[in-house]
Amino acid sequence: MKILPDLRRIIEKSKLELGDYTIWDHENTLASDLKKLPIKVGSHAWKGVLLEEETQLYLGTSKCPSLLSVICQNTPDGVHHGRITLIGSDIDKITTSENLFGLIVILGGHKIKSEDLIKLRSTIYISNQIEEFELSSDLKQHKFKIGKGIYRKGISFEHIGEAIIKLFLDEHKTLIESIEVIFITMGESLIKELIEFDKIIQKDYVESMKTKIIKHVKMREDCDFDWECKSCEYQNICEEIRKIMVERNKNIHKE
Amino acid sequence: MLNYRVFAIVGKGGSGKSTFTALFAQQLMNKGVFPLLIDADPTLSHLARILDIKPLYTIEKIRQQLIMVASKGTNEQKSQIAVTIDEIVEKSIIYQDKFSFLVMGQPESAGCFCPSNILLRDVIENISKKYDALVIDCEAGVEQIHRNVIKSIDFLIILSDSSHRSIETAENIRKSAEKFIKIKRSGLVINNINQNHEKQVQDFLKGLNFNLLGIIPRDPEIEEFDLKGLSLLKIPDQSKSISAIKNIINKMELGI
Repeated sequence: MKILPDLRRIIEKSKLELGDYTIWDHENTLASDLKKLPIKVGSHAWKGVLLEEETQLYLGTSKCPSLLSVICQNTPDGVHHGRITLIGSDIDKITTSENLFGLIVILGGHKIKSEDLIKLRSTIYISNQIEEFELSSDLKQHKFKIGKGIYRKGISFEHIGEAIIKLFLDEHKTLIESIEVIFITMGESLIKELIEFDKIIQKDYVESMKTKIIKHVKMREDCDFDWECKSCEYQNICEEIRKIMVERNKNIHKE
Repeated sequence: MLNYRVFAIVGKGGSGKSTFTALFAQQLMNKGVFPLLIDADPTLSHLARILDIKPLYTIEKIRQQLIMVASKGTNEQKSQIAVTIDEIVEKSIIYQDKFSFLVMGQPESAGCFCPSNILLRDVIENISKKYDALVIDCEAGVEQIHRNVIKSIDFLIILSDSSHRSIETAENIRKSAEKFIKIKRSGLVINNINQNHEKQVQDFLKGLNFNLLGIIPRDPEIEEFDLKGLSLLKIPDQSKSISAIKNIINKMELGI
């Protein structure tokens, strides 16, 4: 499966069908534009929670399908660095009856490995790093909230997209070479199709989560210290002991 | 054959684990059981003293030897230790007429070297199959013996004094132990109790989900043996603590 071409095909088809989309390209102006953002971005930019009375826009309520996906590939090719795409209405034009929500972050970098998926994916759960903005998930639902204060400032998905790009680049400078963000606020069948698509492409992520849990359980059983072996300077000695163990077991079974 | 073969004795510091281990093992021996006693408390290695044994070699020394060979040995030395490690551990066991004794020792190096623990645990498990019973004197909980000594326990015996705090600690030890290791049965022993307080302790225990195996009264004979540095295995059979331990063994339904 070619993840990015397949995703592009779904998105392009929807753009044609729905007709309502916007693209902001920031590849060349990313650094300077970020300084001009009308919202605060960075650690402790926000208290982390938007109360009901502070919320202007709430997407991804339980009545509608929602999607939150981080797609990673080990090459920057094919990712439009700095591009923010919106399919559907922007923040100021969304009516309260429209509640569906989708956010896809595409990351590319030669150094990205399968073991990085967990930390890259977890970066999207932004709690207190964008002013008056909340993005959270429970089992199947992804919620997106915008506060009244930044709504009055005329905030757009372009700004939120830029802020997300900044957070990812700040957090994973050495890994990410290209990043693209797609917002979806229209097209229930599009979101549903992308949810199914996401299930397939996140297989690796689910597997790496499983591996991490198994590793953690094993460590609890066998190790005194709450850190991972990969940070230990004696790994090579342990590897030699493992070889001795294998040889001893072979010998025991021969007997 | 015993209904339970692997016994681990746990409890907070000063609750009398080593004393109980010695006296419990003595009663097993009196019934014809040949146990391997393991002193697995790395910091307070009392059991050897209580049994009046002077161990020369510990499992920790073997572990250090294994780590040394793994880090600096030749391929030939590595192959040799793989073949002889069971024999090396057997040589560190002290053999007595009615029991054998093994000391785990205190970790002496930086680094956890988990594979060395796993390897030695396999060796100990292999060797212990030759014994009728395995009686392990642990530190407070069982986490460390699970890493170093054995994967599962048949009977977890938790010792406590009569204070509420100590009994609550015992409950925490039991809960924690169940998370770490497979345990078939567990039970509480209240040790070194002033007989006037027995009813109060029984009342307090009613509120807790404990299988009370028994209560051991304060025994001046044990204090005297301890003072003189004599082996507790020589305590007379009619002493108060011995008769309490006999009752505990009956309640444990060991099949002897």
